[in-house]
Amino acid sequence: MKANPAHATAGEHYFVPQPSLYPVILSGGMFLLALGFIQLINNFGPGKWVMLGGTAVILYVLFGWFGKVIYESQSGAYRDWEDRSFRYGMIWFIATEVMFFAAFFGALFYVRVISVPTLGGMLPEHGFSLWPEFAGTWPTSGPKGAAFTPMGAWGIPALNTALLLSSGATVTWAHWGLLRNKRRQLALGLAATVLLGSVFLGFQAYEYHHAYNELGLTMGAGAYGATFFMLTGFHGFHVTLGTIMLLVILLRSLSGHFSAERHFAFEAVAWYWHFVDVVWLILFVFVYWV
Amino acid sequence: MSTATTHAAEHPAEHYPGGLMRWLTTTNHKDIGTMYLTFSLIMFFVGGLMILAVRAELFQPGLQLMRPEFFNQLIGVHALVMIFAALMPAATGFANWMLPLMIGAPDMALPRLNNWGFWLLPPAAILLTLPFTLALFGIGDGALATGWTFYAPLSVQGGMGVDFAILAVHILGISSIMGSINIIVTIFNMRAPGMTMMKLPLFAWGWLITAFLLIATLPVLAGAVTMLLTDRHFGTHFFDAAGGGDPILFQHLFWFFGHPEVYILLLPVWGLMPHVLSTFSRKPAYGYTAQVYSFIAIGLLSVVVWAHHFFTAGMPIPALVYFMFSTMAISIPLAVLFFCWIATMWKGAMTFETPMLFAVGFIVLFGIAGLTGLILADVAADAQYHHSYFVVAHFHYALFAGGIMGVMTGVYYWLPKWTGHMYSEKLGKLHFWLTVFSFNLTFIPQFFLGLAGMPRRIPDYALQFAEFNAISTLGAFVLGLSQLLFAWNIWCCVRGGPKVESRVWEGAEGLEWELSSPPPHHSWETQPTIK
Amino acid sequence: MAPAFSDADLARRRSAARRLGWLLGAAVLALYLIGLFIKR
Repeated sequence: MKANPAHATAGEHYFVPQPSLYPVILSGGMFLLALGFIQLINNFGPGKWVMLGGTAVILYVLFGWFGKVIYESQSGAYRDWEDRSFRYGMIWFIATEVMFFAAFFGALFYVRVISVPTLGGMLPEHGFSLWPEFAGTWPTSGPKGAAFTPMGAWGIPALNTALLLSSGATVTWAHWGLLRNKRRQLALGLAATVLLGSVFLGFQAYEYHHAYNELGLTMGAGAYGATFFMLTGFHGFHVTLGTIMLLVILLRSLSGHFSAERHFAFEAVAWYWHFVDVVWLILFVFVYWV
Repeated sequence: MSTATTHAAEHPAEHYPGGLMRWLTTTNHKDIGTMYLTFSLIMFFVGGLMILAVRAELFQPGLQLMRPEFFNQLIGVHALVMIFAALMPAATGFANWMLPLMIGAPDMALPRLNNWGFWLLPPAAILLTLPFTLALFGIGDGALATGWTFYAPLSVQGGMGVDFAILAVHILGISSIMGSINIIVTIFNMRAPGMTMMKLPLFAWGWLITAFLLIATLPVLAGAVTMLLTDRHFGTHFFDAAGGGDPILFQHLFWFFGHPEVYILLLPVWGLMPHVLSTFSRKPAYGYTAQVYSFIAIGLLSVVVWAHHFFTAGMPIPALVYFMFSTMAISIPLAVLFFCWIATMWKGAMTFETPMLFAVGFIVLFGIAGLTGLILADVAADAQYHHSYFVVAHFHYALFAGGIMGVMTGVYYWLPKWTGHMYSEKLGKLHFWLTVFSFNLTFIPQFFLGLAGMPRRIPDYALQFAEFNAISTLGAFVLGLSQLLFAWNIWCCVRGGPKVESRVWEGAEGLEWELSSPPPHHSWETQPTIK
Repeated sequence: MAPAFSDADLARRRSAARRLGWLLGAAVLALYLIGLFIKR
C-alpha cells in the first residue's frame, strides 16, 4: 500500500483558504449557461442573452478565482503539502477526461464492430437484414445516410499529428529550461508550443470547412460523421483550452513566476497538453487511418 | 486501533461572515457537510412527494389523478432526484463531515473546490424540476417522461424536459467528480502521520473506492447524454439505425455508468456499517483486511457487469453468459461483507440504540436485495422478471433499505457528534419500527406483483393486481409520513437536547471521538500521531 | 448520553449474542437440510 506522506513536521499547518464567493458565483454562471442553452435549442425566451450572461459570469470567476490562486501561490501560501494535493487533484482530473473520451471511443468501436456490421447482415446470428442493399462496411453514413467522402489520413491530419508531437517536445524543452533556470529557453519553448497549438487549430478549422463544403461530411453523415465530429470536436475543444492555459503560463513565466523548484501550474498544464496529445494519437489511428 | 497524542489547538479568533454569507462562502468541511446533508434531506422529501403522487394514482386500477405523461415524468424525476440529489449528497455530506475528523486532517484537501461541488447541486435540482413549473405557463410539456434511464429512441423524440435533465445530469456529474477528486486527494494526502492505508477507517476505504468509481464512470454518462443531446438537436445518428448507429449503444453507455452507480450509492454505507456494528457490539470490527479487499473486488467487478440491466434487449449468447456469471461473481465479495458484519456482532455485548437498530435492519433487508438480485442476474429467469415490479421491489430493497436506511444509520450515529446534543431515542426507535414495517408493507407486495407479471412504469393495470397495489400504496403513505418523525427528531436535536460527551457512544473507537461534540470549527490543526 | 451499562449486563448480552448466533445458524442449517428433501 501507499506510504504515508512524510509531512509530519511539527507545527506545520495546512493552508485552508478564507471563505470565498467565487464557487457559488461560478455555479450561478453555469446555471445561466445551461438554462440559456436549453432556451436556445428549444426556441423559447432570450436564450442567446442568458448564455452570454452566464459566459460573462464564468469568465469573471475564472479571472478572479485563478487570480486569487496565483496571488496565494506567489505569496508563498503553498508548500510541499499543498503542492501534493494539487498534483493528485490534477492527475485524477485528467483521469476523468480520459474516461470522457473513452465514452466516445467506445461509441466509435461499437458502431464499427457491432452496429454497422449487424445492419449489413454480416453477423452470423442475424439471419436477415432490414436493408439488404446495405453493405455494412466502414466508413458509412448508414443504410439511409447521404453520400459523402471520408476524411483521408495523410493530408492535414498527418501534418497535425506532426504538429502536436512537436508541441509535446517543445513544452518538455521549456520544462528543461525552467528546471535549469534558463528563462529564455522556457519562454521560447512555451511560445513555440502555443504557436504549434494555434496552427493545429487553424488546420482543424480548415479541415472542418473542407469537410462541410466539399466532402459532404457533416455531423449528420451517419455513424461516421457523428463519431468523426464528436471525437475531433471535443479534442479540438481541449486543444483550445490547453492553448489558452499554455498562453497564461507563458505570460506568467514572462512576468517572473515559477522557480526551478516550485512550478506546479506549469507541470499541470504540461500534463494536460500531453494528455491531449495522446488522445490525438489514438484518434489519428482509429478515426482517420484504419 | 489508533490513539491521538495531541488535541486540536485553540484557534485564534478569525473573522468569518455570518448569516447567509457564511454558507455561500464557506470553505470549512463541517459547514459544507451540513449543507450537503440538509440539501439531501430536503430533496428526499421532494422525491418522496413525487412518488406518493405516483402511488396514489396506482391505488386503484384506471386513471384517476393524472395523465399518463405526467405519471411518466414523476417516476423519472423521482429516481433522478433520489439518486443524484438525495442519496449521493448524503454520502458526500458524511464524507465531508467525518473524513477529516476520522483521519486526523485539518480540513478537506481542496476546500474552495469543495464548496463549488456543493453549490452546483441546487442549480441542477432547479434544472431537473423547472420543466414542471414551465409547463404550468404553457412552455414545453413538462419534465423528461423517459424514466431516469433516458433510453433512446424515446429520449431522442422526447420533449424539452429531456434537455433540462441532460444539462442537470452534466452539472450533477461535475459536482460529484469535484467531490470525488477532493475525497481521493484528502485520503491520500491528509492522513495523520502514522495512519497507513491499512489503518484507515473502513468508512474512508468505502468512500475511496466510491470516488474511484465516480471518476471512472460519471464522465461516460456525461458522454452518453452529450451524444443524446446531439442526436436530438444537431443531427447526429449515434442511436439511430438508419445512420448506422444503435439505440442499444445508449443502453451500454448508460449502464456502464448505471451499474457502478449502485455501488457508488452503497459503498459509503458499507464502509459505515462496521463502525456502527463494532460500537454497539463493543468489539472491534471483524475482518478489516477482508472487508478492504472486498470493497476493492466489488469496485473492480462493478465496471464489467453492466449489460445485465438489458438482458432482454438482444445480445449474442456468449455476451449474456459472460454478464450473468460476472454479475453473480459479485455475490462472493458481498457475502464476505455480510459474514464480517455478522461476525462483528457474534459474542458481542450488543445494545440496541437507534443506529444499531437501523444497522441490523439494514443487514436483513439488504440481504433480501442481494438474494433477489441473484434471481435477476439469471438470464433465463430475467426473461420473465425484466421490467416488472419484481425489479422495482428488488432495487428499492437495495437503495432504500440499503442506501437510505444506511444513511439514516449514519445520521443517528453521528448526529450527536455533529450537534453536541442527543436526539430523542424514543422517537428514533419509533421511526425505525415504522420505517421497517411500512417499507416492507410497500415493497413485499411488489415482489408478488412482478412475479404475476405487472410491468413497471405503467399508470394503469389489470384488475387482478388491485389488492396488492392498494396495500403497497397504503405502505408507501405510512412510510412517507413516518419520515416526518425523522426530520422532526433531527430538527429538535439541532435546536437542543441533552449534552453529550466527546465519546458519544461508550463502545466507539476512532479519532473522531477524541474531539469534543460538536467538534471545534477547526479541528486537527495540529495532526495527531497514530501509533 | 446513552445510559451506562453495568459489567454484569454486558456479560449477559455477550452470552445472549452467542446463543442467538448459534440459534440462527442452526435455523439456517435446518432450512438447508429441509430444502434437500423438497422435490419439485
